[in-house]
Amino acid sequence: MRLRRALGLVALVVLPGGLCRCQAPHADKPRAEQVLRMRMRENPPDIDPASSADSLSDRINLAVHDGLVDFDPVSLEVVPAVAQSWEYSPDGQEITFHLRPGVRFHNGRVLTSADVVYSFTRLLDPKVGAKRKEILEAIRGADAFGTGKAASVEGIQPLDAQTVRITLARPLPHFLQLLATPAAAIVPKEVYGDPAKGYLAQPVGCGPFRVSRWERSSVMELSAFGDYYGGRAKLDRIQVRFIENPAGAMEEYRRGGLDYMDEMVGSESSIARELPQDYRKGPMLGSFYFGFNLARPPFKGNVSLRKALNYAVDRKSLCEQTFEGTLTPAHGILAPGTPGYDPDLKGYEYDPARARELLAQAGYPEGKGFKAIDLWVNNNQKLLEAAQKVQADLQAVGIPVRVKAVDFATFLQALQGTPETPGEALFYRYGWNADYPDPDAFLYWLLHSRNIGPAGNIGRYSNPKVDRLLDQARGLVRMEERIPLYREAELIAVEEDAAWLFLADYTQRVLIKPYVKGVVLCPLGSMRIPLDRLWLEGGPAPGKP
Amino acid sequence: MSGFLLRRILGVVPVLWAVVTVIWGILFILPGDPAAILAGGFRADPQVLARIRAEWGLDDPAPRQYLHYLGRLAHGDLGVSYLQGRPVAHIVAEALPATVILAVSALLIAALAGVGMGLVSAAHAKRWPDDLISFFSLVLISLPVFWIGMMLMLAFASRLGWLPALGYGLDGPRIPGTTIRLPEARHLVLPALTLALFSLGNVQRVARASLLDVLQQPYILSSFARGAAPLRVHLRSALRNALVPIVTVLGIDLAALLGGAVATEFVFAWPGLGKTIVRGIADRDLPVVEGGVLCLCAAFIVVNLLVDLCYAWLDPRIRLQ
Repeated sequence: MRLRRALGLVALVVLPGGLCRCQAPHADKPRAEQVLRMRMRENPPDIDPASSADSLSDRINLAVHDGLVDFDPVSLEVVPAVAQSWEYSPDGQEITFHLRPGVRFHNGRVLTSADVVYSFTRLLDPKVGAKRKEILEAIRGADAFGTGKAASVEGIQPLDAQTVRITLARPLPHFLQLLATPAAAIVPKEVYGDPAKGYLAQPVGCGPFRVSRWERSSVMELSAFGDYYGGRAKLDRIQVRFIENPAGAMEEYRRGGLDYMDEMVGSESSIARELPQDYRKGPMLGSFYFGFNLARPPFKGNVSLRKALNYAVDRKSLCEQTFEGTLTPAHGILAPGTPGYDPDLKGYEYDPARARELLAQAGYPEGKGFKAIDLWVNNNQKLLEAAQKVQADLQAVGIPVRVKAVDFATFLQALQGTPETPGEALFYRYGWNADYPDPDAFLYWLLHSRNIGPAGNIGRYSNPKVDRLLDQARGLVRMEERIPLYREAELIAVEEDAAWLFLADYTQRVLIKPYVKGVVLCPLGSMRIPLDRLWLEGGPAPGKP
Repeated sequence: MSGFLLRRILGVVPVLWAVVTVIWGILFILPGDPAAILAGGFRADPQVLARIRAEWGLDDPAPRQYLHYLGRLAHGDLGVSYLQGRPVAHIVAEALPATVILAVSALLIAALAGVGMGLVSAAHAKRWPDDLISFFSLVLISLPVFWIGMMLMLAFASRLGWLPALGYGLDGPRIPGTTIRLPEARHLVLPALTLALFSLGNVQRVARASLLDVLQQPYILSSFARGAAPLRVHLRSALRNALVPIVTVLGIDLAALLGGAVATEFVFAWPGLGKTIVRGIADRDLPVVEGGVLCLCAAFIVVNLLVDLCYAWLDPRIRLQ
């Protein structure tokens, strides 16, 4: 009997398939204590909204801070936040914001227009070194302030305690959208002026949650801010647990220790079958592709070669088999859902015969004379599989490619180079997520020669006609006038220039327990799921993590 | 004794210098630009990149960077984390207690279980209990920690639900007068057991060999001949005299556990120094890596010194000179 028990225990240890998902029956009533337990891969590295530029920090910053405006998570329209209304001058270069009365920071102080001036000036201050200061660079006087020629930013003026006027140096149609990004948060001077940077441990914002506990590398707790201008959040607390091991996090989710996670490990189709009520999938404004270094041979000046690669890869099979349907084949640059997305853009179909023809035109008949190049990817199982799939497709038409998997820091260094010098990588995986729902968020950063290098145009694409179209579109206010210009720029980059190997559009997938209500997947990424709108109804009692 | 201690302490200085130089050299030649990570990854403002490089001295020639680093260390300054903007000393001080608690707990389990198993093996040498235990030890030594950790998690957390799967717990007590929070005991069990299994096999094998050696000594044979109870002979006479090699292994293992807890910390989301260092390497947060590794090296040296001191206490014939 003892032996049988012992064998049973050994079987439990050895057989990972023996998993159970014990959950108490759901009772459909709101819980007494509303605590959402979520996982983050690691500590948010930098929770100063001015200097952070990573999705983990943005997730926390979006819960703790608010800006003048926000995005509606479904329609992606700009909606009021700290500013209750605004109006444009006839020339579209002056925007007057009327602040909501009685907005309070977590320290109890009432927010005024002086805080808006301070926050925006701080973002443009070169001493702060904001990584996303470009969101305010269109403001009049931003350049002079940034170069030390002016003591303040001319275009940011408080009219009274509740009104602030922003004057742009040039019209920028998506300026309001930029103000809805996390970097444009309104912060209190008495906290963020601290030279000892105490705000990095105890941030203070005017958002729906305040940081009530933070044990680095272990847990962060966000508590509902009672005086939130939008009404107290339904959740009392959010426990953010830092779990780097995705397999461990999956187990924790399965056993009920987590309510929400946005990174899955293993086959996603199996997870979707196993947890059909938890698995949620939605669109995302993001693009996945393999980039060419256009400043170096063999891709420099060889459009036929670039087109040959585009015809050689079977995107459908890549998306359906390698990515199990979590990505959708892309025909161009803009992801579906982005204003200006062109469903009729042809792009490149899988056509190995056409690829061989173009390869011959490129000077490499049947691949002869083509020296094998490295395809750089950062260490990640799925990316590695994708690279191997592309490698096989290219090999089939005679293009030899070696997959080179390295850690992210090495990968980044090989790609970026400087504005003057191209990076080492000739062929590399790349991805781009839009920060704001506008074609500019893709096309301007990825294609304009002004952004060659680390600013976004890593492939060093340069076409004066495309530059002109993008600049022209940036100067127009009406979207219906801008869209044809963006479509033309995209068409040139895709069908004339084959700027990169167009592969797929991202989707977002998350696991959320069915008892978490009010979930809305925002196409700008899972970090934008509005936490203040969630509540828990029924489900198991919150256990200890 | 005091002369021995003084010599050992003075001997630590060149060792630490060598360690510091090797760490700095390896990190310096590591590919990957910390500024690119700090500036925001895929999309970075070239001006911000330049400012970060200037601010952290990343553009300076290698000798200047090295001398600057040594100068800081000489003043007891481990530097500031590139990524978090906080002193590395604070980051190490936050993470080290969790690693020490985990490593010491694992060592206690490994010592008690390993010596116990060694005793049983030696007492039944070349019979089936010895074979079974030796086989079990070999299996434990061969299994990767990562796998053991995941299997224990699946069995005791996911399947049986007896223990939590991950983390340090949220309600552990604080050490009075400090900011150090202890883990909840139930959270410690699986990580400590995982890490213990890593060294348990070693301890058992050394304990068995050492005990077998001692059990052949004439004074032990005469104790048996006088009719002393075997258990008493094993525990009181043999074990004490067999302890010197066991303590050596435990000392080396403790040092290895402090540095080698990385996989266990990763599997169980344990907020320790190993995880902090690995994260630092991935993010090219060089001051954090340098400070963390230096701290582990210092711990290694201290543990070795303590082991040397233990020898004299365990065996009065050994004199520290």
